[in-house]
Amino acid sequence: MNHNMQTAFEVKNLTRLFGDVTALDNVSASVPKPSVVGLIGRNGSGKTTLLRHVIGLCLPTSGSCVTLGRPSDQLGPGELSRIGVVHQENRFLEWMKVEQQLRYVGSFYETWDRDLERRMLDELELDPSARVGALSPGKAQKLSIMLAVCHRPDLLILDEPISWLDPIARKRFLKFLLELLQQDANTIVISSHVLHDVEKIINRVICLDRGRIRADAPLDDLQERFAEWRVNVKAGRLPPRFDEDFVRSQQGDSYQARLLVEGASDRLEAFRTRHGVDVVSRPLNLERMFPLLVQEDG
Amino acid sequence: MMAFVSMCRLLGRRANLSRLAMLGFVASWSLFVYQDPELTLDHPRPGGLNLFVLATSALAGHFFAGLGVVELQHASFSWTLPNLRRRLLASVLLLGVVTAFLLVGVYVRLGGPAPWLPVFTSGLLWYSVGIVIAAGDVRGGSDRPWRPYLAATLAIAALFAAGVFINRIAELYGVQPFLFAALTLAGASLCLFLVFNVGAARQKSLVPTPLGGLGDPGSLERAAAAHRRTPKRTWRLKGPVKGLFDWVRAGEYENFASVRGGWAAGAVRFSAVAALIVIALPYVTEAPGLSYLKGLMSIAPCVPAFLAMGYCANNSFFLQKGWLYPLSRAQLARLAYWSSLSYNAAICGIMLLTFALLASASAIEERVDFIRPLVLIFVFNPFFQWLRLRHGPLFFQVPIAGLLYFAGGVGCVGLFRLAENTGMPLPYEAAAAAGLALLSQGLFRYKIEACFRTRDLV
Repeated sequence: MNHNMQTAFEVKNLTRLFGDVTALDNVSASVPKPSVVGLIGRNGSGKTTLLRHVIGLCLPTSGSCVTLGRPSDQLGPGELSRIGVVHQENRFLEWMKVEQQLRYVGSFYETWDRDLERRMLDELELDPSARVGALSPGKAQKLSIMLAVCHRPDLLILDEPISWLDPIARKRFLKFLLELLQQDANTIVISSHVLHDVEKIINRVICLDRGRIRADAPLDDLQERFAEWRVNVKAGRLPPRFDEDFVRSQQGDSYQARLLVEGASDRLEAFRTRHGVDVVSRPLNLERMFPLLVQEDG
Repeated sequence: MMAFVSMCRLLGRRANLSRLAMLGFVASWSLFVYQDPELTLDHPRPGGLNLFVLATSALAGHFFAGLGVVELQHASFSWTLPNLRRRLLASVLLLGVVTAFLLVGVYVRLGGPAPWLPVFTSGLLWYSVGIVIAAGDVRGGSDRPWRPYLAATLAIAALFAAGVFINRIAELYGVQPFLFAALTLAGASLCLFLVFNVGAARQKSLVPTPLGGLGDPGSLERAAAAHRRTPKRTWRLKGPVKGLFDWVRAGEYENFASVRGGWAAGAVRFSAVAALIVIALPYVTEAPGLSYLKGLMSIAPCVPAFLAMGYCANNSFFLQKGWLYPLSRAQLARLAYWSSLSYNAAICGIMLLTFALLASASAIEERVDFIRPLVLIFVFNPFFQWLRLRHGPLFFQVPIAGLLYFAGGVGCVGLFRLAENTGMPLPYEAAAAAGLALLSQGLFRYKIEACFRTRDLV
């Protein structure tokens, strides 16, 4: 099989400047099909800019971006019909009703799934007769999600899709995404700050910081790489600071401490023996891993 | 002081250079064109001078103070910023007083005969009216959404009426200067109260910044009324949307389906107003005591071209920006070009039809040539359509846009006069116009294609 056919998108040495500001700095990444990628990073780290390059709305200053096998600046109707996008800022035709907006956007796609549309209207509790301009931010986000998924895209780009959703709607939406993935085996890229929810569905993490990729790895690998060690002293006192190079941060007092460690799974026993301590190791969730991922080098 | 500094910063932006260009043009127009045709330009008549003060004050109130106030008042932080309202009012007042004094200075320097006080207070009144129009501050209420529009229309009509009857109004300056000053000051105070009262400030802080000026939501009621607007047409194409014609249809639907009567109704209304201005002018100038308006006749045929340029530049059949349509960049470029061209053609067609009907109904004796100026739309408007695509709906704030607009207008006048005075045979004239239009359209298409090939689409 052709390499491009197996890749949802691939960016190579992508750099994007906005005047003097470097939004993306030599970014390279490849996202295979199918996969669910969590794109994480601090505010202004370049997540939205990267996603806009993937869908061809923005063009790189240098480097390349290939989406669904085609350079993203040359995406044609065939490829664009296979992409669904939830933008960070919702833009609708505010004078329409929800059902009119769905009918209008649906008429652009041959693959628009009316059954899925009806089902989502029910599950997301959207009133088809509601005026789009009068929707609350949460409901507007639900509509935006519907417009992005009802044509059953192969590549679904979600830029902060759940920031306005209530916990119940979030849960339903994430469950729905999993179903979509099982049915259509498509690729989903989800950019979000609500990490504990995103973590439930993603299998890969791309972490951006100041326009650079800090981490690009399967979530399982990251969870093996980072851990929290709860350290209890057996006798005497703990040192004020553990000097092992895998210790990324330390909190606690002279008798117990919580260490965040990186790449130390095979060094646990040696650590216990050296310091004469009890250690309980726990994997880190994405929320707690995040500060470690975006930390400065050194 | 803080609000004054904020205001100064708002006013000192690059965007205001464009407004300054417009303001300068209109002010000098009222000063020099608004006079008997036999007068020389360096000796404007009192009528023109008086109108100069009123028009410049109103425009300064609208474009400088008004739009700046709107921007600050509609910010989400405006309600909670301590004393913003009072400080804003103080800075607006200060700006108004300075403007009116400067205008009085010009008035006296050019030999205006009236006492300075009523001229000064008239300037303040129209400055305040300009702010009211910009802020859209007359309360409509959910059951009377038409009231702000009516108020704005009345204010604009009053400005026109003041222009027409300025010499008679100016007679009052000398007869009852203090009474006139008191009345105009009371009017100015009422206008400023409408904009700066507590209720208005509270409501405006809840509504996002409007794009500017007439017709934008200026209160919760008006925003709610806008939300209640229903699409007057249903999207009937079952899909899938394919081909250029379908896409232009989609663009037309996106832009005009919520407007009763669609794009054509707006164009007819607008054309009727433009035609009436041109058709009514000869009758008005014949009225006793209004001969000073004859200077306007020299530019009468270009009024529709000017208005149409602005009208065409502000709309099109193009699709909403920022959505991901299943269209390649090359297809989008082609669509942008054809949607602009078809919109221009449609508007010009409607205008010519309306002009012809109204001109024949009015039994106007003097032939007014509407066709030449409108044809020139196809020469000049591509530049505005291009700026609109490049900079979005607020493109008129780009400094070059205002200058281009007036250069285009003056170009219309010049080309029109050239054709008329040289007695060029019609086929040659048509060929020259077609050549210019083709050149302009070709450049427009080239720029659009380059834009969609090389620029971000957000």
